[in-house]
Amino acid sequence: MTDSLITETADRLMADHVTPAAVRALAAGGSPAALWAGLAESGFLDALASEEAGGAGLTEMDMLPVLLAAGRHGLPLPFGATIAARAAIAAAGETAPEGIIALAASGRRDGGNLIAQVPAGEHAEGVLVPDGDGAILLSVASATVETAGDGTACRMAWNGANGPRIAGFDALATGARIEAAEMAGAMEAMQVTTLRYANDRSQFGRAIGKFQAVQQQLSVMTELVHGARAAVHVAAAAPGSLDATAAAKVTVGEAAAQVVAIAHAVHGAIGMTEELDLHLLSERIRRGRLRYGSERHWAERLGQAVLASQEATLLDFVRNRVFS
Amino acid sequence: MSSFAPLPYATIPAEDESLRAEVKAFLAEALAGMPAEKRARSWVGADPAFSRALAKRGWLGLSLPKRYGGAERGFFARFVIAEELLAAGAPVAAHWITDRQSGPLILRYGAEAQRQFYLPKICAGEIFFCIGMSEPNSGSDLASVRTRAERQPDGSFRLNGRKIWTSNAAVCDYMIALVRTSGVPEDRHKGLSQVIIPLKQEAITIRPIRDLAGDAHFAEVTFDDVILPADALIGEEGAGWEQVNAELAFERSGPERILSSMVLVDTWLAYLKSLPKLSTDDVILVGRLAAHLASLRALSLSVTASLAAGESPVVHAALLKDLGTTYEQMIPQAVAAAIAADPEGDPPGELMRTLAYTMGMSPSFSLRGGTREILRGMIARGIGLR
Ligand SMILES: Cc1cc2nc3c(=O)[nH]c(=O)nc-3n(C[C@H](O)[C@H](O)[C@H](O)COP(=O)(O)OP(=O)(O)OC[C@H]3O[C@@H](n4cnc5c(N)ncnc54)[C@H](O)[C@@H]3O)c2cc1C
Repeated sequence: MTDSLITETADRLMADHVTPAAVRALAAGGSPAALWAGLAESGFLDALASEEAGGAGLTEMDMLPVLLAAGRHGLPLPFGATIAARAAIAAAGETAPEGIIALAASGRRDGGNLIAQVPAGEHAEGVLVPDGDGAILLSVASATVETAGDGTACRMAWNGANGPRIAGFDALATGARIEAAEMAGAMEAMQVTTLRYANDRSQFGRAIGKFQAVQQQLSVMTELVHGARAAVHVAAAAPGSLDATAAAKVTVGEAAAQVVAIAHAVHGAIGMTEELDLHLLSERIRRGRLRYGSERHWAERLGQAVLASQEATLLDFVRNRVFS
Repeated sequence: MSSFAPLPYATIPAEDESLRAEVKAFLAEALAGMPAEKRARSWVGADPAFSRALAKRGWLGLSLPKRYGGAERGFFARFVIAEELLAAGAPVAAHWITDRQSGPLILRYGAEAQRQFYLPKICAGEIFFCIGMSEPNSGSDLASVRTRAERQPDGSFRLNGRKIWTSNAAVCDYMIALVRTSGVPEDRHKGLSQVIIPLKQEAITIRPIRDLAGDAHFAEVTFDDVILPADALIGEEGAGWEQVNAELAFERSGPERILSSMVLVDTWLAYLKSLPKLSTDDVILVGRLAAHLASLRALSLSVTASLAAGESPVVHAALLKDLGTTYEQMIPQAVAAAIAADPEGDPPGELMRTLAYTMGMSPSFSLRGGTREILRGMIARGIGLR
């Protein structure tokens, strides 16, 4: 499939299933079953798995349009996570469970317990939890689950956790890369929405988009949206580079703070209401910033990598370590 | 979808990337022993001999065809060389504008005789060009230029007026100027043309202007009844506005709008690496600088690919430039705050002089090549707000 064909297919898929009403119903504690069934039918679930393993053998770069589209619609389910998890599980020669698989951001051993922080885990059936230099696949049914209340992540604990090992799989980094891509998509949607509003809303007898101060804010927003898209492109092109993932999470997270602020500033009071869909996007972005390590976490890791490297210049570091 | 879609992701073709090692080796030798505060001046540092040394290696006129002495290698080859020159802080000012703008402009709009005359000399580093757009009363409002080139009965032009902020006018042989060939300033975009002006002549006065760091890289240029032959006109008479805008897409697209503070960054990194213990804040800042450099570089590569495809990505170039200069300007402020956070710290003099220079000059990053507000206005037009 070509890039634009994937984009079109993904956009149609999300528009059909991830409606504002569906997102609201999930937030109110509804079941994800119907929404998930629609997404699962799309055939994207095994897109990243190799052809030998029954997948489509696509790359992360090929799949970026799908994540962007999910973000544009504020999808709260771990669709990208499930796709990445299924590919990793298949590559390890294991069988993936049916249904939603979440990626844990952390896994901590405490005596006989394994405790994990799992973004969107409340919807999942399986979880890949970081453990040693890989991950283990665990079922949610055997865990105690505590939802955080703000929807960012839930805390899961397994007693005597045991499951298939997926060697070499970095759940935190994969989660960060997916989250950054979906946030970049959500920011694109915010820009489109805000632009439309600036053309529709009138004050002082003209559209507010005709005021230079508003125009300049929307221009900055556009710059940041483009910068975020570029960052997730770089990360998708080099999924093996932890530095590229770090760079994307930092750039997207910092841009997100400004993009959300501008979107709300331009919308005025109406943007603060429950009825407007804008907040579904702000909400998706808020969670994204808090999941899989904040800008600060990734900037520190990236900074340590720069300072420990032998590269002569920062540009050399970025070229050699982030771009490949 | 976005109403103003991002450009596709682009990478540097392998044959252009392969230039890098040779450029690095050349620069390591050419710049050996040059202190950081001098290298920080990179694109205001004019050294014709250095530029000619680049020309000898075939590194000028990279995007120009072989029949005019160019390397016919396109925009990505130039991108690789530009990146290395700027990251190293090489004195690029003599040829910079010529190579980036004037050469491609002559190729695109020039008459065949003009191409044959100027382009080989440009590629050989024998002649250098400057840009005559701004005037004392025409900065952001470029369409209001008053410098006039009036047609004489014999087809020649009589030129009168004044240009200002002309980078490297004193070092250059020619200026490509935006002038009014008909009508009055109120006619705006109509009646503007571009002319090539040989600068070494009596009727032209070049007065270098000192900047706040004590350097004199830009200048005021006065034309007093300068007579230009008919073939001084480049492109079409009256098409100056369109041509100037195409030229500005070249000017705003390259890695130069990202890398102006890199010598400071690398000097600071070397200092950090020498410390026994690092503060977490500093490590975080280093990570942020690396992260943003990556996304800006990706944007710049996309714009380069668009130029290479023969497009004129004016709005994307404006967007990249504003985002890039924001980054360039953030650096000296953040590094200054980091260094001064420790009153007992003992940073080397070279680092402090480089910081002082970069801090002092950083406001110019968002002025040269079009101010921040003007660029944002162009983006606003691009997304359909005006
Ligand atoms: C280091 C350096 C090198 C340069 N080299 C060259 C060169 O080689 N050749 C050349 O031709 N020029 C050169 N310039 C000039 C540069 O292009 C101008 O400085 C720039 O276009 C701004 O014009 P101005 O300085 O007259 O500022 P003004 O146009 O007077 O602007 C002052 C302020 O008003 C704002 N403003 C103006 N109009 C608007 C508007 N419509 N909406 C919102 N805000 C507005 C501006 O953004 C700015 O903040 C150089 C400048 C510098 C600093």
